[in-house]
Amino acid sequence: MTVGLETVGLETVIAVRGLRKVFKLQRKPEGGWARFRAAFKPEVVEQEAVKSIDLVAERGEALAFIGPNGAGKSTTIKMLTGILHPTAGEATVLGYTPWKQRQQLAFRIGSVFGQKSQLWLHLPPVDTFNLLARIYELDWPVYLKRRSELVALFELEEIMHTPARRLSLGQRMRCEIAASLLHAPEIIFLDEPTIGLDPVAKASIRDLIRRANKEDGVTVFLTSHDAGDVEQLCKRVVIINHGEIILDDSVNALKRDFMKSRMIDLKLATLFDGAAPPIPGVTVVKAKGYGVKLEVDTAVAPIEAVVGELLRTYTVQDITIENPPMEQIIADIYRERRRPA
Amino acid sequence: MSKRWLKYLEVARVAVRSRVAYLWDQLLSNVTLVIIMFVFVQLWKVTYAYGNVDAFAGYSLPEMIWYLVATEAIVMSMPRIHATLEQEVKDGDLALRLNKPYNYLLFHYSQFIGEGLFKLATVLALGGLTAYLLVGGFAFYWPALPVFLLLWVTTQTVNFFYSASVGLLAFWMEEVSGVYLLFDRFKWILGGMLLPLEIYPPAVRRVAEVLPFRYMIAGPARLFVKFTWDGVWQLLGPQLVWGLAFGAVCTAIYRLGVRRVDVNGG
Amino acid sequence: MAKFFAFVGAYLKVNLAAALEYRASAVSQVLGMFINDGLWVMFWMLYFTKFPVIRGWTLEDVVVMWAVVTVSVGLAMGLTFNARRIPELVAQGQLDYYLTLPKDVLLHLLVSRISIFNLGDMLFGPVVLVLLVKLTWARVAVFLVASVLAAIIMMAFSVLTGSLTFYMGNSETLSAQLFNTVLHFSTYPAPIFDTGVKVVLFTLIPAGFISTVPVELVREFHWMQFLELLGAAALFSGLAVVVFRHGLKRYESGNLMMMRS
Repeated sequence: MTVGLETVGLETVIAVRGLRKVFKLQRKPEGGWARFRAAFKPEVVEQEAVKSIDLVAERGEALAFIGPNGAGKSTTIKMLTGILHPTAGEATVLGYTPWKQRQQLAFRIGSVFGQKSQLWLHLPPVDTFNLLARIYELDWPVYLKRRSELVALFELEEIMHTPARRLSLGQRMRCEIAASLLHAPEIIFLDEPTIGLDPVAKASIRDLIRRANKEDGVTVFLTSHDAGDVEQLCKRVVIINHGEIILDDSVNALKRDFMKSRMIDLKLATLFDGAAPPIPGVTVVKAKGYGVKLEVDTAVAPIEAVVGELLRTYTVQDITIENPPMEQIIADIYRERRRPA
Repeated sequence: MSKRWLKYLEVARVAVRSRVAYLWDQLLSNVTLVIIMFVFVQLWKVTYAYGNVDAFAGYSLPEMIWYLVATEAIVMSMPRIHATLEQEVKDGDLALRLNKPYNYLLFHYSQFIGEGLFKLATVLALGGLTAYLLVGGFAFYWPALPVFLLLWVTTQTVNFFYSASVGLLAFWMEEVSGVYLLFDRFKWILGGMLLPLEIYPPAVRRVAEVLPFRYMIAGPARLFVKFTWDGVWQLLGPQLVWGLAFGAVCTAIYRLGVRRVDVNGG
Repeated sequence: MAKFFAFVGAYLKVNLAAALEYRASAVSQVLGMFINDGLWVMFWMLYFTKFPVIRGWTLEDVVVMWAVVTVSVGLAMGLTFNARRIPELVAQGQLDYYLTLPKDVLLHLLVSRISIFNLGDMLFGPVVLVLLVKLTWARVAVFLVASVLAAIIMMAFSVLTGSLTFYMGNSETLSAQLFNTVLHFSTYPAPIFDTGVKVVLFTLIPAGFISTVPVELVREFHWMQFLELLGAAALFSGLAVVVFRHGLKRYESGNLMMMRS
């Protein structure tokens, strides 16, 4: 399973086979009396969060693990980091079985959750870093050296000593990622690291992750709803939906095969006449006044040609070319996979 | 004009309804009340067994316990308005409310009363039941029932402005809870929360009699157990005065604070 | 060992630093707690003015009781604030955070949060002891040791009741109620209760061990009673660890969850 991958050595760091998780959920009834009854006779519903997945990751890879909400992403990551026990199947991360050797594994992996902060909000990040050094039992001189390297790399000199709650989201994320790298983990799990960030901050975070991956050989396991994150950071993408892996391929292949349509937003100098543009493969999605939204079937018409044609046909004041959202790509993939051969 | 006030009524109604959804939680959190009652009954039973009658200032054992039910009914039916306001100031939710067409303080007052009514019902039911099972009933003056409801509202109004004033200090203070405890427990000690003021040693009693706290807890509780119509007027008058005073202070603090609204963290 | 102390020390530093950010409010919080405790002592002073002895207990005994309770609860909640917060931690997904870190989960969560607020409450005990009770060095020593043991029981009890959340979903309210129950019963002389209640106070709701036994030890030391207190502390701690670990296994198998993000 190494289509178009650039690997640094061929050491497997994550190996998953037949991993499965079924949750027994108790339906929480409405109203006081029903809840009381339920305490004695709970109504249990089984939910297959992860059906059976196989996955292999090599050292130094940058892997995107994506899927719509409820697809089983978090469940899988929790099993890989030792937070959750699977119902069946095997997994080895850096040679450890995560749920059996949680603490030992924890010393060698890092994690960043975009929505939860590990920085102490009222304190400057440096204090959290020092605390983490103790949690990870780092040798103090070694830690200090590493810390100054990371501070330089992440450009944290100015914000290290400011209470975290006064930092912008982008600054905080830089600190979070630096914090997760302090103990020189071999794998980092990133969950939505760029969520809520403006484009400049996003670019900076992606750059840092990329450097950690390329220069330090840290294996990156990324979850994100942002297609930009996937495109710019990862060479490989694994898509999970309804608890199953439906795609495991290189990002290039994904782009080539599945981004079948692009959206173009036009702002014209004159009112749109309502007529469909005389370009095959281009249809009008929405039109109002001076604005037009077009959909381009990239199988029929390459995007560059279409743009050129549009600029010749209309007087265009502004043009935006959008990627279809990842959810749509996945939905398309899923539909494609489900279509009879 | 009536439309303006209808909205506050609706706020109160919604507050009651949303509380009913948490009936189970509410009952559970009133377990403290049952325990307090249980323990006090034990204590007073032992005390009455060999104390002298004069020491009890005319309160019989059941009356002493029902006095406690009444003070608890007042204190435990108070929603934690100081915490709510502190939270809103700190989270900046205050700003959200400022561009809605209602008076901020009245909005919270309506919620307070609505939620409080619900809490009152559960506290009285549970506390009353416990007291009745442990020490029996007392000579409750039933005809005055509607008056008691009115007195609860007036009492809680004074309490609202008192607590809200402290809560709004959040405009200037990082943490209001310490100051609140100070003000609240002061109110308890000098307001006859655990013992009727008549039982206090004379020196302390004299201090308590000039302070407003007697009208916020002890006064209404005493009336509950030993009702007189005179007592009602003697309570309502001062409550009105102190209610206006605290209301003015609260509004002033609010106005000063709003001007200072500082958004935390960009 | 050194690494362990470094670990604990780091958390102490971080918590102190966070608390110092809000010095003024910390002071006001502590003052508030003093007032709260003071209220009760005042109540007892008023009470004992009228009724000097109650089932063998005097004002002095009650004051010692309050001192023990404030010191032990202050110690327990101050140094291991998270002991009370287990249901909250689970509901917020914070437990997952501890699980991603290379330390024993229970130890980590107990060590990671210190509440200056509660530590301040500890000062009340000594103050009120010095003011109102006849002290000897022996008594002070007994007082300190007994308070530490009572603190251990308090902490263990919190962990035990907090662990209920692993078995019945969000038990925040229930656990808080149980904690308050123990606390409340600890602040009344056990002799006022009849036998049935007393049995409960030495088993399910260990208020008897937290206040009555220490008071009796300070009044007059008996080795038998001291060993009972020691035994209770050991028993409750052991039970807390066992139950928490078992509950954590349940949590990790992810079954019968009510609401998890």
